[in-house]
Amino acid sequence: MSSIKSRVLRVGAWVLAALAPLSALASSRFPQPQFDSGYVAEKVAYPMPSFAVTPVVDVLMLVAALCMAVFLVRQVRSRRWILFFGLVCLGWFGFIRQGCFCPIGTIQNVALALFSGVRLPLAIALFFAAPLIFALFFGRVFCSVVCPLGALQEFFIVKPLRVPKALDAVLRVIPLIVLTVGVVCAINGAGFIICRTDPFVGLFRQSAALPMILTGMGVLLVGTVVARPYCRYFCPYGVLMEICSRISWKQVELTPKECINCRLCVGMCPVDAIDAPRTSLSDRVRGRQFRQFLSLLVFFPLIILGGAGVGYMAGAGVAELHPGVSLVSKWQGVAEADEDQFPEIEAFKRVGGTLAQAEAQALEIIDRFQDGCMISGALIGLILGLRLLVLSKLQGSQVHQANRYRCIACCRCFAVCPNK
Amino acid sequence: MVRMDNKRERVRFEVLRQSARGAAFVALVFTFTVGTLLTLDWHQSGQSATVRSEALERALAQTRGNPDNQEAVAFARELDQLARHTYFNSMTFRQNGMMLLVLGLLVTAACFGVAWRLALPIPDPRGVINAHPARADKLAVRALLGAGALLTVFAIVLQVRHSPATRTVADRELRAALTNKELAAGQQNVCACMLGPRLDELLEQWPNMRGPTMSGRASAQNPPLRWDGTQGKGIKWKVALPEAGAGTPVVWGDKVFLTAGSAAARRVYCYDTQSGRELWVTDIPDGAKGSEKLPEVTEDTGFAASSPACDAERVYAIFATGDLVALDHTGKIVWQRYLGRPQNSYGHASSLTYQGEMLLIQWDQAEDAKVMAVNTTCGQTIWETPREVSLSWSTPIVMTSGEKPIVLIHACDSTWGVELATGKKLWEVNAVGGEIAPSITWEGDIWVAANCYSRMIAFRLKPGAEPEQLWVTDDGIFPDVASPVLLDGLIYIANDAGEVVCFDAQDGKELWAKEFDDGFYASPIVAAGRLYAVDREKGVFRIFAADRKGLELASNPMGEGVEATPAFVGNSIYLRSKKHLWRIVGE
Repeated sequence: MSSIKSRVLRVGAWVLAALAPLSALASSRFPQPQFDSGYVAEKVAYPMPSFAVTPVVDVLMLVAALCMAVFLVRQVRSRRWILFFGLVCLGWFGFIRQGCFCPIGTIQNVALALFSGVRLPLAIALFFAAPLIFALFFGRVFCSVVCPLGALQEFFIVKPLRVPKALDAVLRVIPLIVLTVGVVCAINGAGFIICRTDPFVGLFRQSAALPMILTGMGVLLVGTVVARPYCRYFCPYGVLMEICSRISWKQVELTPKECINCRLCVGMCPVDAIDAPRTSLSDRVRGRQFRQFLSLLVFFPLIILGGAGVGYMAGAGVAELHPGVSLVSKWQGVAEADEDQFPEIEAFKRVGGTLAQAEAQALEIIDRFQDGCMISGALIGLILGLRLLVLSKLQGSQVHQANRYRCIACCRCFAVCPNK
Repeated sequence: MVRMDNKRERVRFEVLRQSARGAAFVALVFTFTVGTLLTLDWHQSGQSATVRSEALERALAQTRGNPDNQEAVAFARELDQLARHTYFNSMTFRQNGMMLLVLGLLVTAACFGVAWRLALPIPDPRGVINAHPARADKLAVRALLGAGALLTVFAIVLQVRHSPATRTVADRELRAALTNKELAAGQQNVCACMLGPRLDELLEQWPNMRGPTMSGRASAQNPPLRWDGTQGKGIKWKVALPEAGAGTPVVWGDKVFLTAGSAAARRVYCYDTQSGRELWVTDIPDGAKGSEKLPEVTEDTGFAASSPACDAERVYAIFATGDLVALDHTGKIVWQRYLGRPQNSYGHASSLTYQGEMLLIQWDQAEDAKVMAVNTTCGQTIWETPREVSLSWSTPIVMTSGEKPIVLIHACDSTWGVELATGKKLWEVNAVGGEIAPSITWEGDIWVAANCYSRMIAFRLKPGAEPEQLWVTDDGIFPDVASPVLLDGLIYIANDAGEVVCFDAQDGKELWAKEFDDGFYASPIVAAGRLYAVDREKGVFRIFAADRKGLELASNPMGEGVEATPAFVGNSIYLRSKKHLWRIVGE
């Protein structure tokens, strides 16, 4: 008898538990406000998301795309397939998922979590880490065509020109600056600058202010002759990818067989990422290069310190990106009678704020930015110092090979290799 | 590139190349046209992302002026609908245009790419080989060094352009007012606290917990002796408090301030001292703006355990959410700072210490513990000294009797003496252990610390050296929450076991003890030769003679428990019980 009773109770409990979510539908929880004018409140309608995808699906799709890219680059070795796969990735990550979230922007989330204690969602952490982990094993396969920004630029390469090495070295400083400034801004509350400078998100969403669209189109236009300009000379995530791919387990292989040094791949590579064998240098040149290496080695700590100093000095200017500082700059240049023309000044005044308080806040923000930029400057100095040392190093290789950190695995070189 | 083996194939490729080129040009013209149309639309319909129409604004203004005019209302509605339709049509137009633009761009690029590839001969490797790689490397090194120099110049320009623009009045005033640097010449003993109200002015107020000297001594000459809270005898007024909070009320002039709060909201209240009327209440916004979870606090600590502080211009409050705020006497927020979520197992409870132009904050948290002084005018940090100590809940005390004012900061097995003007740590001694909530008391050059399950200890300050330990005793039950008070060589404690005990400050020997049923959380206060202590359960206010005998002079019931330390101003006591705020004037 008691067993029947307990069974009935158990079944009843299960039924009640199953019905529990229905209580959320109770409409009387928040009663409608009463109006004397006879106005009848409209029923609130919540539109369904046009394409609901959970972050788990996003992460799975990214990992699957990375695996497929590795397979195409290492096994299939076909430019055509890579292009077709690029179209798929561009469609999914770009136009369907509208470029968000993307690993490039997640740099800021990670920085915010590390330095400000803001919670980092697992999906964002995985989006940040997955391409880097793959880079540690197989090089920059993410940059190949999985990244929608890279894929879009890949389709616009028409007649790539070679960027002179000196100019290339200078332009490659920009991503370092973007990365460090983006991180400093993110952790100091100046917003996600890296996302705001993404030139293609407006194209992916088919909705943006005209200047953003024009910038995106301009970058694509430049990309017809300078391959992948955003990837090479702006992308902050590329800096991290470079670091990881330098120590990658495997690298892109130009030819599965023995390289015959035909040089065809060098001419085909749009991003100048193939290291060719060098003729032996004369003793005089070798000696000069060695002396240059030694002197740079001696000055290496000074370069780092100099970077820190430059960063500190730039901190006040970079802090202008923070609304609290730009408010003060604007306020100081505005006559008292015209203050109501500026909504941000008006808003600050409405909560009882005065110019002196805004100035005091701005000073605190500037101090934080100067500290952050000083550390960033030291990091940039460190990387620049290392690059200078690499440029002064005596380099030598017997065959043509893909440069570990510059090669973006676009597979163009496979098509021309006579020794497939 | 294409290998062309015969004439026919060559012709076929040429046709294909020409077609691709033609298609590319058509696509380019199409893209350009779409781009032009979009640009024109963007300029014509304005750059605003919201529904805007001057006619609509006018119509709406007309309806506001005359709401009974049904015709005008209907017209405004019609215009509003029209504006919305126009706006969303424009959005759709732009979105479609963008899609066409992207497609056009893709087709243009693809066609040009195909045309170029078909025209590409087999690459001549001789043309792409760099004949002088070492020279290119050398040039790159020089270019990089040049870029570094350019960046340096750019940074100097930024520094010159932005630095003076922002370091203006506030900075100069702040530095002049808040450090001894500009006062140092010939004025070595001048401390920052002298920039605030005069001491005689302060003694007439109750600017922070345990009074102007933060030692539990009140300057009241004739405080009330007898009253009955249950019958309203000797009570000037009593008002119900809408929210919970454990902080003591603070008083300045004709205003009483207190804080209250919960997970839902944190507030500062102001009452009129004459009538008890609520003058204003201000909600303090969460500085984390919802981006961080609220800290977990115990029920009896709550979100508003810290006592506020006040002066003639502002009231200052700190909450367990990490929000530090200053409001003027009309309830308007003057400044607010978010110190980060405190990592504190019970919840942040250390109170603010008002010291002239400074507010002292003891931030003993699980990580990044520190003691800091902030400017009362703008909230900016004046100094900040990091600490590596256990969690604590006590409040900093400033001893002004020595050569320089010294801040005493109290945590488990670690009491610091810190220079008030600079925040420099002068010495550290091991006073008492355990979870420290009671603050230190002091008189002259002697300071005393006590904590339950630990001991009571007395030190004498030595100029330029560590303080000298006078005595230590572990004979007795010492308070868990209430701070001791030291006056005229006698130490009084009220512990949570229900005892009020008096010790001799010379040797730490017990002089008298009274036992009661209910324990004490509110710190005892000495005023006009009397010791006032109120218990936390029934709220019985017991008054003793503050001498070596401790005769009980009166026992005044309040009718409800009291945990907050009372404030003594003039001849009145302002008391926060669990549910009410009282002004006691006596019979």
